[in-house]
Amino acid sequence: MQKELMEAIASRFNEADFNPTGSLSHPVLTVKKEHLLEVAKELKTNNKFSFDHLSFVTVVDHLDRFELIYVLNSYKHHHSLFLKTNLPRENPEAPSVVHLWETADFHEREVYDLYGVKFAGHPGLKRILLAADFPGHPFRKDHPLVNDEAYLLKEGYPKEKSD
Amino acid sequence: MLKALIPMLIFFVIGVGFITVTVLAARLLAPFRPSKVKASAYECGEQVFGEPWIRVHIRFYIFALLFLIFDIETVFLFPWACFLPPTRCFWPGRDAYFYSNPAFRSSLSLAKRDLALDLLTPSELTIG
Amino acid sequence: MGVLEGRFKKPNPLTGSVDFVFNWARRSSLWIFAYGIKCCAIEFIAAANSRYDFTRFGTIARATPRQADLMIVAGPVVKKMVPVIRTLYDQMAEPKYVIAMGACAISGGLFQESFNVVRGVDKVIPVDVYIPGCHPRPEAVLQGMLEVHAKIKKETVVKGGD
Repeated sequence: MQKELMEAIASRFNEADFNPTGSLSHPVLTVKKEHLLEVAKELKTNNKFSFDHLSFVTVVDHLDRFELIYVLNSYKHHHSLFLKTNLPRENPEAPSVVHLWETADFHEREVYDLYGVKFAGHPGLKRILLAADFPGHPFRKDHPLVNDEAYLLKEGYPKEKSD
Repeated sequence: MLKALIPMLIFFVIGVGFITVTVLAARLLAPFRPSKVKASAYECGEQVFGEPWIRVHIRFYIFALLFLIFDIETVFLFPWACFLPPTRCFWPGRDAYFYSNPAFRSSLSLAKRDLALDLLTPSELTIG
Repeated sequence: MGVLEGRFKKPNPLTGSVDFVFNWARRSSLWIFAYGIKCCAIEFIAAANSRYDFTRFGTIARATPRQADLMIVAGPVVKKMVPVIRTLYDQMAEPKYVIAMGACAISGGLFQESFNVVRGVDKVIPVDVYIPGCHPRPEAVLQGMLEVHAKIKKETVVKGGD
C-alpha cells in the first residue's frame, strides 16, 4: 500500500517535491503554499489516496523559515504521509484545512498560539493553551528564554488577602 | 391516651430545639465577611455566563408520580407490617401490594399506559 | 466570630474557653479543597488512602471550595490559572487556610524558568503552610496538616488576634 501510494503520488503531483523515502518513517510531500489547499483536497477525496485522518498539524522553526507539517493517515488504504510546506518567518500565514478535516480546528489554534502562524478561513482563531493575553509566541526560536512576571503585576491580580 | 403522646412531644422539642440552637449559634458566632466574589455562582473558578435554567421534557413527570406513590406507601409500611398477617411470598413488597388501596395500583397502570403510548421508554419506567 | 469578634481587648477566662472550643472545633474537622494539579496530587492521594490516612484527623476531601476550610495547592500554577485560583480562594468561606505543597507550588520548582509558570502560588493567594519536597512524602503531608492544626490552636477571639 505504501508503494502504490508512492507511485500514485509521484504520477499525480509531479510538479511538487516528493521524497518517497526521506529520513522519516513516512513519505514526505512538500508543496508550495499556493497549492496547499488543492493538494490537500485531492489527497482527501481521491480514492487512490483517501487520507481521511489528519493526525496533527505542527510547525518546525528552522531559523530562516517555518515548515508547516500535516501528518495524514488513511483508514481505507492503511498508508500515511507527511504533507509539508514552507512559510516565511515574518507574517507566516497559511490556508486553514478545517473544512476538510475538522480536527484541524484545535491543532491550528495550537500552532497559532505557540508559533504565531495565522490560518485564513479558520472559524475562531484564538489562543488555546496559553492565557488569552499572553505576550508573544513562545515556541519561536527568537522568543526570550525568561519567565516574565510583569504579567502578574497587572490590574486585577491581587496578591494580598482581600475581603 | 394523652400519656402516649408525651414521648412524641419530647422528640418534637428535641428535634426543633437542636436545629434552632445550632443554626442560631452558627449565625451568631461564625465570621461574616461577605464579598462580591464570594457570593458569585461557582463555576470551577471561571466566569459565569448565561442562565442555569434548562427546560426539562414533560415525559419526566413519571418520576414525580412514582415518587409520590412510593412516598405515601412508605408511610403505610410500618402499620401494614404490624397488623397484617404475613403472606408466604419471599418478596417483601408483595404484602403491601396485595393489601394496598386501588389508587396505588391504578397509578401503576397509568404508567403502563404511557409506556404503551410511547410517552416513556422502558428504561424510564424502571427505577435505578 | 460574629458577636464575639473584636469585643474583648484582653484575654480573660471567657475568651480562653471560647478560643479552646472554637479552635478545637475548627482543627478537628478541616475539610480539604484539594487543588491537585500535577504529581503532588498523587502523593496527596497516597496520604488520603489507607496507610497514611488523613481522614483520621477529621479531614474529608471535598471537590468544591464552598464546603472546604483548607485549600491544598499541589503542583505548579500556570499563568492561565491565576484568575481561576484567585476566584476559587475567594469563594471559600472564612476561616480558610492554604497549604502550598511541593516545590512547584512554593516557588515554581522545576519549572521556574518556564515562560508559563508562576513562581510560587503565594504570588496569587496567601499561604499558611509550605510543605517542601518534590514530591513530599505522605508523612510530610500529614505533618503539614498538623502544622495547620498548630496554627489554628494559636488563634484567639481577642481583638488584634486573628
